[in-house]
Amino acid sequence: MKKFTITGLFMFLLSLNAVPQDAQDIIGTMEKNMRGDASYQEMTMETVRPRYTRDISMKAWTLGDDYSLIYVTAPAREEGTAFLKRENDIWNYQPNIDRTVRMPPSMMSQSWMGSDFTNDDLVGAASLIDDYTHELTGTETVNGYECYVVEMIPDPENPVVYEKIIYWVAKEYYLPVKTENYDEHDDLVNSVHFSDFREFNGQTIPAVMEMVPADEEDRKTVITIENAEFGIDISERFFSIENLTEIR
Amino acid sequence: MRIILPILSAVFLLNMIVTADLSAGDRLPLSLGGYIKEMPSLQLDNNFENPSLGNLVHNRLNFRWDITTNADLRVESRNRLIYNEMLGDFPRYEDLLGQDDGLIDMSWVWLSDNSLFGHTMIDRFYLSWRTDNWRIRTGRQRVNWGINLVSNPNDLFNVYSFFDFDYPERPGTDAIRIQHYIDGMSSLELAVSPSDNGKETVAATRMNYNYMGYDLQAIAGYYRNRLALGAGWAGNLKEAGLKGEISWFYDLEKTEGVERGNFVAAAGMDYMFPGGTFGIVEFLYNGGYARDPETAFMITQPLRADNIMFSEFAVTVSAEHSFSPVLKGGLSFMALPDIDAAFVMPNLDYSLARNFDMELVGQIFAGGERTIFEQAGHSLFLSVQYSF
Repeated sequence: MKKFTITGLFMFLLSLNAVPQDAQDIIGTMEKNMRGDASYQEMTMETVRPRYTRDISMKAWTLGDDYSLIYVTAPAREEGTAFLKRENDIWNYQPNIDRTVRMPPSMMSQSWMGSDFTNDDLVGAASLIDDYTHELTGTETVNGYECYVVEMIPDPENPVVYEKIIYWVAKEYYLPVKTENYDEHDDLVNSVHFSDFREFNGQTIPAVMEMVPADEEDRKTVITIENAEFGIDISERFFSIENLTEIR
Repeated sequence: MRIILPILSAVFLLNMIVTADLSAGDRLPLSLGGYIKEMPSLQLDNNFENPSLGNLVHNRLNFRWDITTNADLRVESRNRLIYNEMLGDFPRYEDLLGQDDGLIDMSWVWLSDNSLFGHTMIDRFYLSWRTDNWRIRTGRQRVNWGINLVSNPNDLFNVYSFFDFDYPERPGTDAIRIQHYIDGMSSLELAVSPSDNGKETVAATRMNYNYMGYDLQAIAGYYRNRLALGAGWAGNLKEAGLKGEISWFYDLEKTEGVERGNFVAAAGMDYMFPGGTFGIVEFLYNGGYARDPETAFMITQPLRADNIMFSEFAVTVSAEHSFSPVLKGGLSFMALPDIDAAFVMPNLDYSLARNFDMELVGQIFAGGERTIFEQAGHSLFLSVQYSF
């Protein structure tokens, strides 16, 4: 099966008459472009429902796939709450009682602070490179961008949220334009739309990310990046319990 | 309130003097946050009879001053106007309310009129200083060594009451705390909380270490004229969280007829079910109860690390579910089999608007005769909170 896929892929790429592109490379380059090796971002997440919206603002630091730190800046009630992810472990800091709580892995697959995003979507417990098998299934034009379509199936031993992910990666930027996430029955769970490609400190990224649950067009979560820096000078040491409690 | 204002203005003045050589970036060096909450309540006795009404106006102020990039001062106060018809019948209530177990008395009852009380307590007041690998905090603070989500035998310095839901910040303790980070995930710590009565002092060290994906801690120290040794862990068992704490206390002076040593241990699991329900189950063995049954005046009083519950055994099961981005519901149940008591607490948390939250909480205490659970009765609280 694997051999067939690789051969098929190779044939397909030849027929495109393009530089052979490995599906994993596409995702790897895309991920690198999305957050660089090390990044800092300020963002607001808005959860939209038919009758109300709620928003949360935060700062996020990431280093590769494995390390991230999120600090909530608003609303007032949640200000100072922080999340640390190191490889597959997650901790939550509650400033009002100055306490760090270890979170169970099952928390990763559930809604983050009431939004349509899961913890996994935000701090990415699964590595897009190491934990999936990638297949380039074609090219398509989405929102005016010519895209590679890459299908990703998680390796069986990895506890991930979705059983299949399809990425539409813009050839022009090597950035995502759309993602579709599927469950174990191969039903669409949600799709993520990326837009407003904008340059922050020398790097172009989609500044707006919209997560829409399948069949529920009036509900969505929109993440808007207000500021971002890439290639910042932080090491693994930065992603510590100590910093979880001190970061501001 | 009269006490807070001079403190705030003094700190503000100090800040004006220091601001000149500040390098803390564009963030304001001073910040003030907190909330104000209005909470009417209904109390019933053990037989769901004799209703009485209460009301609480509750304000919290959290003040922070970043003196330099690596030093800050925090002052936080809890200001409450408490009314309850029943309180007139408890002459000890005012003393209990005004009591401050710390070195410096920062608890003031500024109004006492039969069933109406005004109370201000500064429960955080500390100076924090840090470098790359060190952090030193002096003053009233939380020295939070607990790992479990319900009972914390390792929390030597500031035990809290699980039943006091209206105090999410939990009490602080007057202490000096020195933390040394060996690397990002392991640290050594020394904390000393002196007492006027030297024997009531708590002084202990803690070592934190991450081994094979488990957060481990070891504790050793002096706890109110007793030797204290403890260990705690937090890790994963497949997709669930597995946490536990155990402490052993031993009298440094022998008392005739009293067992010198006792264990307190609690362990539990937590799990996020598909669909967004967070569940906790936790078991507690409180060896201190058999040695010296706790006689607290009120069920919401924090007890002691070596005797943390009103019974020898307790099992807690708790679930919380997010119904929508604005509505959360929870249910906690605690069984205390050896004293034939149980506690049930349902709650609903609704976000009315940004910064406005409404909460409905019920507390049902059921207990055998002459237990504190029998006296606690049942209550229903409704609160509206504005956070700033």
